[in-house]
Amino acid sequence: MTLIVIQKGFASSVQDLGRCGYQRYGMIVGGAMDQPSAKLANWLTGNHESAAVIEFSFLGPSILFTEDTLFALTGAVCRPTLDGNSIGTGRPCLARAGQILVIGGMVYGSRGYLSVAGGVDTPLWFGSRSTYEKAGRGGFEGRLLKEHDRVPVGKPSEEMSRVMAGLAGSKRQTVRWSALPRRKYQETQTIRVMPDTLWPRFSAASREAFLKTEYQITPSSDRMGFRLNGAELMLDNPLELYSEAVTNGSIQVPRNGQPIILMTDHQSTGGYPRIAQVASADLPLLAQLPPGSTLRFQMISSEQGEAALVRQEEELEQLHRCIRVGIVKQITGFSD
Amino acid sequence: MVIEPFGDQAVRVIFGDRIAPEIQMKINQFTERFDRSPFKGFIEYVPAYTNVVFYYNPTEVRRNGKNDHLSAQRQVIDYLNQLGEQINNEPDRAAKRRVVHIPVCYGGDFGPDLNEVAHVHHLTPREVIEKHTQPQYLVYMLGFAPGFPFLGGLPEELATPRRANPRLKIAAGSVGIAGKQTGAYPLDSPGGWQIIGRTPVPLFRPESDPPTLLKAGDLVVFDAISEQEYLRIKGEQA
Repeated sequence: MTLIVIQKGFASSVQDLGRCGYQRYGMIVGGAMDQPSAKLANWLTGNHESAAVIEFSFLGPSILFTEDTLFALTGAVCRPTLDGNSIGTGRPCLARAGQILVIGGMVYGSRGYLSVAGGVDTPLWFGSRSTYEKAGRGGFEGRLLKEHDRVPVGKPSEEMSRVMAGLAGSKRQTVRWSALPRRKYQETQTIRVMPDTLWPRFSAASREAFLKTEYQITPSSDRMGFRLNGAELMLDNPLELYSEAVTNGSIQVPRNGQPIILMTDHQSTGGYPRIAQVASADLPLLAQLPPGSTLRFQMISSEQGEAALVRQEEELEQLHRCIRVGIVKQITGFSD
Repeated sequence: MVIEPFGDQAVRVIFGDRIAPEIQMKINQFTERFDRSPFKGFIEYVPAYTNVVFYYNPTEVRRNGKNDHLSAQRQVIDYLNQLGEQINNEPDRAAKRRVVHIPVCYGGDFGPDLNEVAHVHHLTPREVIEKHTQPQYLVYMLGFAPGFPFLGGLPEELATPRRANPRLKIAAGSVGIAGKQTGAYPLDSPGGWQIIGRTPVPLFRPESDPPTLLKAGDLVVFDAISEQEYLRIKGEQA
């Protein structure tokens, strides 16, 4: 079974939860920028959370289904249509063979996820299907999707086949409920950060500016990193640093004083001074902010960061349970 | 040994503050010991010149920990500290280092900056090659790109600043010098290194596990080869 890409959208690629365990060899982890949304998309189509999905940015792809397919869209808010009929996001939908899904532009947020029951079934490479563009491996032929690509899809579970059979009988081809993560988008987004070891080595004025002024995400931001524009950050004294491991959310400050937040496709090591680390719980939200968005940083401790992450995962797990209930009801005919 | 939090899903174990083979050896010893008894919720570690970062999943660590009142970070730090103490009680073992020979065709189209490097140091190109093929370089870490080695041991008299104008494309296999560093590019990439030669041997091996020729702790020797040999080896690789 395949999906045929009719329009590629912007930077559409196959992603899962990343390729862990090989950073010591200089490989990136990669994976979905907004991981809770990718997991959610998979749960809605009965997949394991680590199944591969299609991630798109700013402008979604258009997809032709070659067979009856159960799919779901999550992440950025958009106005998708199936053969011209508007369908919602955050819910399982049935596409009949020959139907075309048009995702279009994002109304709010930057990155969306398309999952299909059975998962995108490109070959595993080092335990992951995430696209590693620089290495030309992983995902769909190691590159972004383009028109006429035929993306392979796995076989849906028995349970999902029954959901599909049920939806095939309904006019709407979808369920009445939807499941979306709780997120608070604001005009100026507050992003929680934790101090890096070098925090005290930045000048008092820089530390104050970092926490009291706004930073804007510039257009030269991508899956590797978000380049920010705002008050210059300076060390008290220049430091000679050796390259060392960095991670998602590391905020590096090159010599021009403008911070860069490392995102999913960041290199495994870096040699710039780091001022702070973005709390892991705020990374999915950050990943959704388009260029031009303004940020304000709020300092928390790494213990608070961990607590926020654990809480977020618990909430997500609750959402997962609700989806399970919704799917079971769908099969047993209690709803819709 | 000092352990610092690195965000909320990683900690950094620091073994020193300078680039030295004995610090790299300690890091090797620590990670080898760790490999024999990783904790549940551990994801991966990444060694560098003076430290090694351990990544973990806080929810998993808490779920599997003996004391769920403690943060995952506290549990990981305690565990790694214990491991450090055990190693302190072990006698220093001489590192068993693998020596990897990397054939390099120096100069010509493969090494467009060889003459420039020679000129800067008042050496002949042949002398640069002799000096560059002399040492056993230590692989301190891999990073920047898959299989890119950070090597220590470049003779002082070859240290050369980066090019004023970085190249847009440096071919995979290019061997270069940047300041006191020397190394080889596993993939085509832009870069400012002084390129003195090229190896026909792939450093990035996407079909093998691990996917790289080198790993931290290896020793590297560059062997000068002719263009004919380069083409022959390249042919064998294809």
